[in-house]
Amino acid sequence: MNLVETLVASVILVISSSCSLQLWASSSSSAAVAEQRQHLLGQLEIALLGSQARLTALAAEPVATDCADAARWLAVHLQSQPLAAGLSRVVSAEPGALVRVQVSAAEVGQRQRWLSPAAYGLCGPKQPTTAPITEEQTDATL
Amino acid sequence: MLSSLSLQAAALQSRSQVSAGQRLRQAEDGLMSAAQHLLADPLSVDQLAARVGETGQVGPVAYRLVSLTGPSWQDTAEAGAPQRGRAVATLELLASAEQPRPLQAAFALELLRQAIPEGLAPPQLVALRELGLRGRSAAVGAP
Repeated sequence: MNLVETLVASVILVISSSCSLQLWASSSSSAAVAEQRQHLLGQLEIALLGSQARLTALAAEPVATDCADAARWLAVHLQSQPLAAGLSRVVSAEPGALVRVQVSAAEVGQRQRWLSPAAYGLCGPKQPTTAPITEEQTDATL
Repeated sequence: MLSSLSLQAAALQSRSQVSAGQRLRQAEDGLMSAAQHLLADPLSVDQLAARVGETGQVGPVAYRLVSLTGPSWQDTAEAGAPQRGRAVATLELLASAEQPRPLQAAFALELLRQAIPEGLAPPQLVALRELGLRGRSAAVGAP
């Protein structure tokens, strides 16, 4: 092998290694971004299901006779629940005695669900059998 | 070089899986919202059977009540105790631009009826649980 062949082989080796390293770096960085994204998506899921789990925990304990009143109470209650860092949540009472829970994270977008106090026995024509649940009581059961 | 390319291919595959998962979760959100909307009126529990085939809309979600089975009632353990029952409603998310295929999910409606001197009071809905989207069991619960 003469000098020219050695030089060409070295240049090929350097270029190939450099390309390979760049691809590795790019793959590693996109894997880290994907992992962070998955983590945030998981947090969104937890936040949304956590709100729904609150309704399940409160089930069959009417907070108001009128479902629109129950929806307003529930919106305030769910908005006051703790939330993971990096997420934001908007809870609003909607027409039709529904509550809209919207959780979002900057990098992954948002998820939303409409929840109904009537579907969990939190309102209805029957008079409440217990006193309305206070924030302190509900926080303690979370 | 080849291993780098295979790593890139794996990253692309993982990204497409994440986006498919996101679409599925949005469909689940839509179906759960539809079930909640269907049951937003407390007087409607008794009238649900008559609403099979009806369509509804909540936010951007359009749905149809496909079927309702039950309610089936448990035998009460003691006299005067409330009786527990369950009905199963199947809802379909109507096809849209984002979700071209109609998706269905079943929901369990947990019911309770109190014993009163005249017999039993009308059933009261006390909980709603997702039974599964297209056969996939749902992980609904407290974090």
